[in-house]
Amino acid sequence: MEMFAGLLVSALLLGCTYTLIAVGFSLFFGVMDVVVFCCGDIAIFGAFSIMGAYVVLMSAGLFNTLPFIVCVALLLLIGALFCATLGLVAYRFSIKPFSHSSELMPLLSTIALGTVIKEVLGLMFMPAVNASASAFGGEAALKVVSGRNPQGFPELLFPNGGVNLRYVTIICVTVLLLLLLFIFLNKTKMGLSMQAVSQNKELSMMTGINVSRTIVVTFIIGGVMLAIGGFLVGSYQKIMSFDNGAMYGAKGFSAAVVGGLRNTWGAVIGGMLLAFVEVFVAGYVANGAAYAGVVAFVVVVIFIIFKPEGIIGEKTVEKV
Amino acid sequence: MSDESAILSIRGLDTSYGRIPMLRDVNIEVLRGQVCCVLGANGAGKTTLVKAILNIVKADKGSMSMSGEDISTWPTHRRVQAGIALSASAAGSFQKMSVDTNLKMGAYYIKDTKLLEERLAEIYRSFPVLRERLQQKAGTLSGGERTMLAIARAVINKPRLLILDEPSLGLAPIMVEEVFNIVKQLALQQMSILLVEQNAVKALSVASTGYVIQKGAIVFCGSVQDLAKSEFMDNPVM
Repeated sequence: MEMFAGLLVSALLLGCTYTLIAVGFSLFFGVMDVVVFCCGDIAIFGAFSIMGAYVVLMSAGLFNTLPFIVCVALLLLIGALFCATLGLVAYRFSIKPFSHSSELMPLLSTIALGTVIKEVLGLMFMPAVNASASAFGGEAALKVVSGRNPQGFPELLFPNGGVNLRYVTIICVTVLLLLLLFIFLNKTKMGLSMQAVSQNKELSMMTGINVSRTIVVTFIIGGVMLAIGGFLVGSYQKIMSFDNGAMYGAKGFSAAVVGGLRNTWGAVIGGMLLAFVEVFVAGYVANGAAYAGVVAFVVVVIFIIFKPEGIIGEKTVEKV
Repeated sequence: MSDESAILSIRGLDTSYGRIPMLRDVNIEVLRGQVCCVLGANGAGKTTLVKAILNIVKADKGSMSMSGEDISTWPTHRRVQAGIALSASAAGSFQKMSVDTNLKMGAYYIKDTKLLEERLAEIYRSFPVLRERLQQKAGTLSGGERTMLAIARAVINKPRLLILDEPSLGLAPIMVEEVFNIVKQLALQQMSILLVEQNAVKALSVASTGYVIQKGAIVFCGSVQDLAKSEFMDNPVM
């Protein structure tokens, strides 16, 4: 029973990290009908920019002068800013130029952009806080490591509160963020426009919705979601590598497909399902950790074959 | 004709899809408070014309003005904001949204919530069918109901110019009758309407001026009385 509870918590945590990335996929797919394959890399970029900003804030001594929570908020803001910018870059330079060409083009160009982001992270991210140094209060031992080495993610969620508090925070942050997104999508004019553009782009234009502005806002919001997703991935895994993006991208995309690509809540359910399959296979099957990823992707394949519209994706057939 | 009496005037409009020319030198005037119809067969360029008026299809050449004001360079949302409302049943609906939300999306530029409530109440009075379906997802409506929704979504704005793109499309005769009764009522309220139709007999029964479009060019322009006598009416359903 104790093992079961432990697995349940792990699955929930992993699900939270997948979910936010999957939400990014589904938001972008909704407004552009394009799978933006660099979502994972954008999220990891967010995590790395938080790590970089942490080092800068640390060496500037801000952590000693400002309250800890303000510093964390500042870091999150910086990460969100970076990812929102990157989201816009992805839209402007690797999706919009191809909006009139074959669907394959933006697909390839976003994969290319993902590779660029990944390699830039590997090249550029040099200074790092020694992972073994205590993050809060202690001496921040600055050292320079190659960006291609795994980096320690700073402990920003209750560094003194122990591991459970951190886990609870990860889950709470995810739930809060999804709640905010839900309110935004259903109660604000911009949120409703996003849904409208996703459901019927031509009619949206006819109703006078500023479609291009709506798309831009979607990419900003998606970028922010990915940034916080990356932050949670970092807080959960504690060690980050510049090439984590591909794996998280694949998981996030799979989660979005399993849930129903166009549906934001599908992305949440898909993320959780995938995480539960992975964690429980690893926990209960002998030598399961080696197969966990395989089984998760087999689930995806089964969904694509038998229920391609996803768990709560509706078939888009209009009654005539 | 002076520009002042025309709510919309289109001059020398050319459009194309890629390299294929669609509309050639189209001139159309819609007079204030009148119903103007554009008749044409499938593929004649009716829907292209309608989309060009809203700048959803880009014009290659030509100019467009609304009450004398040049709108040629305006983006789509600005034209809608200025009072051009398009109801195209072929464009469908926001399927996963309720009828109520669909109407509210139509009234995108009505910021005043009180005014919006009033307009919604008005709409439900003139479209009782929609009132019964208030919370139903738009994707589950019948063809006639969806046409009603498309018209209501445009009318809720009290537009300066209402464009109806084939309101009779795919409807049973009894529903066509009902839809045209609504158009007649709107005409009685002095709404300026551009009615784009295939069903010539029905269109002529409500319009005062008429155009015929063939292969992307206007081939007839005049009063409906002249149009009714012309050779174009030999085949009334174009």
